[in-house]
Amino acid sequence: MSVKDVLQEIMKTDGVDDALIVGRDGFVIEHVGQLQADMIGVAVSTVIGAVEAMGRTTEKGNLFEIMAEFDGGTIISAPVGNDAVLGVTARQGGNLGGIRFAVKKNIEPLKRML
Amino acid sequence: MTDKIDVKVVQGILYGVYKSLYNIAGASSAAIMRQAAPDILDSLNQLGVDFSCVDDIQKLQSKLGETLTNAGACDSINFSMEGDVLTAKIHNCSFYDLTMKLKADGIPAFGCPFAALTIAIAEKNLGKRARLVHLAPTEGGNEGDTTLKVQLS
Repeated sequence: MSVKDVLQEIMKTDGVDDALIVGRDGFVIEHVGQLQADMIGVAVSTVIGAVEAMGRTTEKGNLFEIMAEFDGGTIISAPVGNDAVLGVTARQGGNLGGIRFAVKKNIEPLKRML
Repeated sequence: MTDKIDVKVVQGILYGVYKSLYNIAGASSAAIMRQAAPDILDSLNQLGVDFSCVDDIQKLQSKLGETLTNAGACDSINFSMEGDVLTAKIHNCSFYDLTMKLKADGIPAFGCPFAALTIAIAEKNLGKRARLVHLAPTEGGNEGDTTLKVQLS
């Protein structure tokens, strides 16, 4: 199974528009979906870094996941080890529980692949 | 308005900016630099440093090397291409002390202008995907000598 296979598996979850893996430098390693991946890649990586810094400052430990809700949908991001980030965008009304489950389920396999 | 500024002053300013960025974004600071690089290119273009003629690796090497050397960013740069990896050996880098100071504070050299410009030009002008894979003092080199490697795909 490849990274792309995992992303395509996540894409099968109801409401998912895009799934991508980016390096901490914002470089898009793999992407499935329609959006302009380069810009999402930079944004996803930067937000994860900023939230991790907030966690360090407040001594809350390791970050597992970020969920950002907007008028038009939701973006879920999660660190994949120290060097990469998984980002998933979902449309309004998508199955957020299912998407979060799919993200959690696939973090460890992705860690092993990267 | 003066058109020269002491490199130590620049290093002091950049040190503060880079340290703050790293405190805010941690390991993802490199992503901010990736986003900044195309704007740096545009800004340089407006100042008369035009990279639009660069349409192959050889021109990237010669134009970038000439520009950064003339700007005083280093004494010289030697490029080589092996497979899909572009290696730049930078001699007497003006940002070396800054890089070492940041490194001593546990901050990686995510803001390297040589790397940022190489990546931005490769992506914008050559249509390549580019990623920094190595940046460190040159083994066996003099103080100030730095080697960077960018993977192009």
